[in-house]
Amino acid sequence: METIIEAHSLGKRYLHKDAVHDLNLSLPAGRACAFLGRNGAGKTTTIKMLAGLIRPNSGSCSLFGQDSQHLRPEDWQKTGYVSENQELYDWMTGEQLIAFTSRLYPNWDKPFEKELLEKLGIPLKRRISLCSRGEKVKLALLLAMAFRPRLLILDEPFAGLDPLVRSEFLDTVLEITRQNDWSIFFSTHDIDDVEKLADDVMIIDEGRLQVSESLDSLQQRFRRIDLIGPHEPVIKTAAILGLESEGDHSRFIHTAFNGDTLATIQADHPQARVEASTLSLKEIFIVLAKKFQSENPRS
Amino acid sequence: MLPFTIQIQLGEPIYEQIVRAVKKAVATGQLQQGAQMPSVRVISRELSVNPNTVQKAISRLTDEGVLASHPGSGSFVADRRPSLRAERMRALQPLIEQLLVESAHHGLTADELLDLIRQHHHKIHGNDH
Repeated sequence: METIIEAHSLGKRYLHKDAVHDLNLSLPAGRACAFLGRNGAGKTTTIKMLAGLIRPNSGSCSLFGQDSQHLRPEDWQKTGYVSENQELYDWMTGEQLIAFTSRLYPNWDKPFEKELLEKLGIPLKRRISLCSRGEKVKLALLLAMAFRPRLLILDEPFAGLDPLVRSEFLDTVLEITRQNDWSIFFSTHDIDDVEKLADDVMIIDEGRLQVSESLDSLQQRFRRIDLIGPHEPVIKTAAILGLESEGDHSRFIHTAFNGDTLATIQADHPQARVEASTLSLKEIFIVLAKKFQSENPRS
Repeated sequence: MLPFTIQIQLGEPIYEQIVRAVKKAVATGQLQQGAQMPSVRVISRELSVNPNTVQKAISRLTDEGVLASHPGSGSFVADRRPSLRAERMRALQPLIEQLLVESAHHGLTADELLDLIRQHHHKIHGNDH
């Protein structure tokens, strides 16, 4: 399988702080990867290095095997990028900006542009400076998709969008997966949308990649465990997070749950009723973010 | 419109939810034997989910013999075949256990539980089974 995005020991320092430290990642073709992290974790810095917009202090990264620092027009013709703040020429109308941008791409797909316009409902005749945030984001997405890129990079695409626009945006992004050749790399805080879009999840904290695995395996290994009834105190191991106890009830998150875990817990606590329940990705993320916070408190 | 009913809930892998929804549609006759399944592309568009997720559900359903794939023409609802005892045990045991635990909490006797199961079976399959 072709590797679309690759980073080796990528690092970026701002003054005395590592924004990104020794980061390794790879995105194969035909997968959608969600890039998650708390504010200031290093998501945008990483994405800007991948896109060649800022220079790493160490390591390297590439798109389609081409070093990000030396991306050529032909690499950009395969890459759609929606940045965090959608820098658009806002003195133009939507129609003018689409006409302008389309000339930069020999592979611009006019019928697909029309389809996207219809789907997204973007005002064409209004100056972009007068458009709402939702309209600007949708326009930025159209400009990043109408040439049918093989790779779509989205930095916080859903931020500040109302639920209707979010769902239109998500449906539109999924259009790219109808092509033979596609990959998506996106950072977001709107974790509920991730479950429908992502194959893989990467979580970055304090510039370091903490989790990198498929959404399925992440959801399979996290369980909330309840012990109800008299039992010995739960012994904390590395796999146990967020342990709470009150009277005869203990609750914790098991981060390495598998087919044998329940039987093991039951054997340790024969008197108690043991219950396991699944967690949404949002709950998993919050549990991990709390763990990071306690390990790396921010001053 | 998809020939099975599903309301995606967060928290459980989406492919597992699709597997369950299709199995339920087959069990209730909403999806008849031999019926053609919509393509991965159509299902993914209708549900607004990643096509890899749908593909994973279809593969699982094919492995379990719920669907049969005909190269070039997609997936169909397979003829129902009696499953092997081991398969049946693997599929049903955890559910039965859960059911027994819950009915114990509600103070049901085995007979009352069996009655409930019969009633529900009737609701899903009608008189013909």
